[in-house]
Amino acid sequence: MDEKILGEMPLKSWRWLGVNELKTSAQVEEKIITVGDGETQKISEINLADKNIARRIKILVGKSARVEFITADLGRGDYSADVEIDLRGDDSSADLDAVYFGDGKRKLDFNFVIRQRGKRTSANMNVRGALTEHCDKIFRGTLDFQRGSKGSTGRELEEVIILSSGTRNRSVPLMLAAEDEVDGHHAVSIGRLDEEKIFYLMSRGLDMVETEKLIVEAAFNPVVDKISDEKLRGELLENLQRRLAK
Amino acid sequence: MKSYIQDIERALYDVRDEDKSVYKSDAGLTEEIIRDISTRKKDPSWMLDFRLKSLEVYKKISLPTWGPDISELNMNEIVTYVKPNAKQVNDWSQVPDEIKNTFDRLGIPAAEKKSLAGVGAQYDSEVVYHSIQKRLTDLGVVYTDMETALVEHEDIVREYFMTLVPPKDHKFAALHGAVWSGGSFVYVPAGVDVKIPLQSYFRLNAAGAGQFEHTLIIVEPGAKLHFIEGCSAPRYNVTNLHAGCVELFVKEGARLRYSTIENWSRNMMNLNTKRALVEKNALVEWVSGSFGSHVSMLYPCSVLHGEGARAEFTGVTFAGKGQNLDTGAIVVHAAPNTSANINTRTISKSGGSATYRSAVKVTKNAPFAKCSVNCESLMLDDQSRSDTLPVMDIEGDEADIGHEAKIGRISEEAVFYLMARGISESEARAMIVRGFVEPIAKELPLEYAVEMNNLINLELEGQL
Repeated sequence: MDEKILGEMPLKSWRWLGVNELKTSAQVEEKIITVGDGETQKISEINLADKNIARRIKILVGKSARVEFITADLGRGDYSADVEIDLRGDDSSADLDAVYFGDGKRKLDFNFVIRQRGKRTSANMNVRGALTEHCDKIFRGTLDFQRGSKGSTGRELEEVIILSSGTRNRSVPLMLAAEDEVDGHHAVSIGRLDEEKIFYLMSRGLDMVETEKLIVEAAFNPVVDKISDEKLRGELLENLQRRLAK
Repeated sequence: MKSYIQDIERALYDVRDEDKSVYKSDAGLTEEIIRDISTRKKDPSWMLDFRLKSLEVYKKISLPTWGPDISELNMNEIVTYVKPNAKQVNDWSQVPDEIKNTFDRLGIPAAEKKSLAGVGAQYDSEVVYHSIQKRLTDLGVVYTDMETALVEHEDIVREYFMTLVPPKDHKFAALHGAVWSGGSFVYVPAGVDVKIPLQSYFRLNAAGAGQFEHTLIIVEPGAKLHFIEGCSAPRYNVTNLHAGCVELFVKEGARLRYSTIENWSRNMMNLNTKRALVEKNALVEWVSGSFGSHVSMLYPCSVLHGEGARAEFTGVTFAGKGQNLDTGAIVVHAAPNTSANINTRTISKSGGSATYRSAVKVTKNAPFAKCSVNCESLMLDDQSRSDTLPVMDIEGDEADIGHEAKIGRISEEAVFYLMARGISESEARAMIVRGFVEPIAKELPLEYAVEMNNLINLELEGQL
């Protein structure tokens, strides 16, 4: 019994720390983006594909530069995303907002890393997702305060809503610090829908499907709202609603 | 501006006596050595077989590829077994002066005076001093060293020994299975409430000697126990290895609190394995302080095996100069309505490296599992490292898991606030450090809380 339980944990190698492990048949799409000194860039990565997708994105952020990275995954196939934001310039900042919806037998593997190298950098990682049916998801989020990143702050949050008992959720929020003059905080919350919210909404006449829809949408909206393309935004929400109604 | 906090004053703990051991096994690990150990320890034949099987497993498993660097560990040079020059005694006056002096300086008899139930103090690999209060015996509580248990309670030992931490678990568990020696055995019969904590003090003496003590505790249904394990060892130049093993069986409705202050010398490799099997409505509480040692890899594991089982883990880790302490906790939810709380504080300074590493697993069979993790790290300078590596693996939809971690340094605002109230800067910083570890200190029994406070005070007195 115990052998079986402990055998499923990463104890022998702690291999879940660090890198994507999902093997997909998909060709890895690689991209390097440079945000020059003083610039601000907004980057959106939306996945609505039917096939397996693997992406690797590296973003280099210069002095006083800012990147807003938004990623939404509502694909149909397996999805592997490796995102590294390198805050190399002093006073650089990054917001990484992500939403995912895992249903069917999807396998999702997210590895988000923000390296804080410059002085007074600021990192915000905000990840929200919902899992249902037989989805198997792993999320690794790393805030890496490197030596010399004095005055930097980092925040990381992951909220996972679990809608069905066949799912597997692995969350690995890492925080590395080689600098004392930093302020880092991470939090993860994993659970099913809040009973009180369900009760409140159902007492207002909503059925269970509508209630689930409403709560998941409410979690997704703050991230989806940041997508500037209105058409894309509509498409995402419609897709989400359709899949929640299933 | 930053005040400098001195390393812990080791002189108090690093007392070292001349090595007068009667017998040392050859360095390195061979079948002959294992047979030799087994013969000298008068093992039953099944234990010899167990040791030999463990040796086979040990040879097959490679060193861990993760965590702190332990490459300086040369197992061929480790003398695995050192027999001290004293027969086991029940009367303190019969303990040789040299050994007694060391224990005196560690405060063992004093601790006993404070009505601790029994003292099983381990000097090198054998228990040399042991006493237990009569009323414990009358209650049917067995508190003895593992060697005696193997003779007097062979059936119980055989039923439980290394079933929770099998030798194939990892290389050092296999090593432990092959060369284990000494340690404590506690058996609490059903319904018995052991009101006074049982205490055991381990230490290492001979240079290059590994210590592989085994602790086996069985708390039968409805019983209660508080067990305290304390460690201290003198400083040596040769790398020292500690690969102990702790197995706790907490039966239905029982409660076990297991408190430890590990305070190894700065050349110690502390690769200890601790695990508890918690049955229906039972509770295991870990209180764990990791000070000292050169490298530590320590993750007490609670397997919540029965419905409504609970685990509480409270830990503090302090990594100073030349130290790499990789500590944390593991919780496995394997039954419905199980719950766990993990609460840790880590401090790193003077180039020390502290890592919090944890794993929370919720299996499909564990609906309504609840787990809450809170870890905070404090860095006292920019030469140190502090990493937080938690892993959560949740199956099923009825779990409620929360994790929170913070990293930072002493808040200048808080220091300013206290100074504005007329408190000196160094005292203000001291207060903040003490406040930081307060949640842990208050879980410790008084003597240990005092010891931990002393450790911190010693540093703070040295502030420039």
